[in-house]
Amino acid sequence: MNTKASLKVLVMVSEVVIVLGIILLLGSTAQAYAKSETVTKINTAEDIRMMVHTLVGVPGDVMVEYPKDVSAFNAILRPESIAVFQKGDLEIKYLTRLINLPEGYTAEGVLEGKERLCLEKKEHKILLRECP
Amino acid sequence: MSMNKKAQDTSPIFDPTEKSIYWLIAGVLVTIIVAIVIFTFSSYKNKLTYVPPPLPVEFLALRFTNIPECFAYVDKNTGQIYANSIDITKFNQEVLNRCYATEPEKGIKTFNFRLKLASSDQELLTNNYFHDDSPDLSMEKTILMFKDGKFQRDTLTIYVQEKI
Repeated sequence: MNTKASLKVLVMVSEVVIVLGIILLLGSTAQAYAKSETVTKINTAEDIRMMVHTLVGVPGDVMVEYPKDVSAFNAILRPESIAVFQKGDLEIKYLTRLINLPEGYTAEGVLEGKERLCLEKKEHKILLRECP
Repeated sequence: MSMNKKAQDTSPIFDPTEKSIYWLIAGVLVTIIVAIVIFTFSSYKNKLTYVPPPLPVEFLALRFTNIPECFAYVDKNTGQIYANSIDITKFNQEVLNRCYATEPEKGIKTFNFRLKLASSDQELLTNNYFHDDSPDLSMEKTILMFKDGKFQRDTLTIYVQEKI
């Protein structure tokens, strides 16, 4: 009798734990998407990638400003990629997009928590920096 | 009293065996529902971040006719770069490989190009192009071709392979 009663309690407790676990999982997933930081990061990285390719395809020296406030993010431009992330993000959470430069071109630059992002093409170098 | 006790002992509501079967089925259903919810969120995210392929292709293809590192004509005396032009002496595979090259192994996962001038039979292919064209992405550009010391109008057709 005691064994049956304790078994009943155990089953009820495990049911409650499982239901709470599922609620927590779905809630945290919904919250992550509702914050939309991932979406903004992706869009920012894609935009910068397309800007780099456009600068490469334009003759002469050019400077262009990204028309959005990027103070929530950091960005690193390397010759092979652009990475966008938030302060404190582990490297695995960096949003990276590959870029393709002609031979002889290079790309570099870091922007941390600044509002205005500019890309400058000077001869064969693409530079990511804060706008002057 | 003994009949009541018997009824309690055989009550189906608290039977652990039935509970196990219930949770077996419920577990599968709950897993499916959670997977559907996560898939829905993921699809929504992809919808918000979708970039129509013609846009990045257009930006990538700008370089072919606009920069001297690719095919654009440069006046040797003044150094002026003629945008939207092709110097026929530079329209070769070696220059294309320097202008646009993809990674040897993963390059098939990105855009590759085939370039053809209307006035010439010559075709140039980027290093991971395998004739798996995306017809929606092909484009034609009217350009100025510099040949034999003068400009003449020509059409550059750019075929695009999106990814294999």
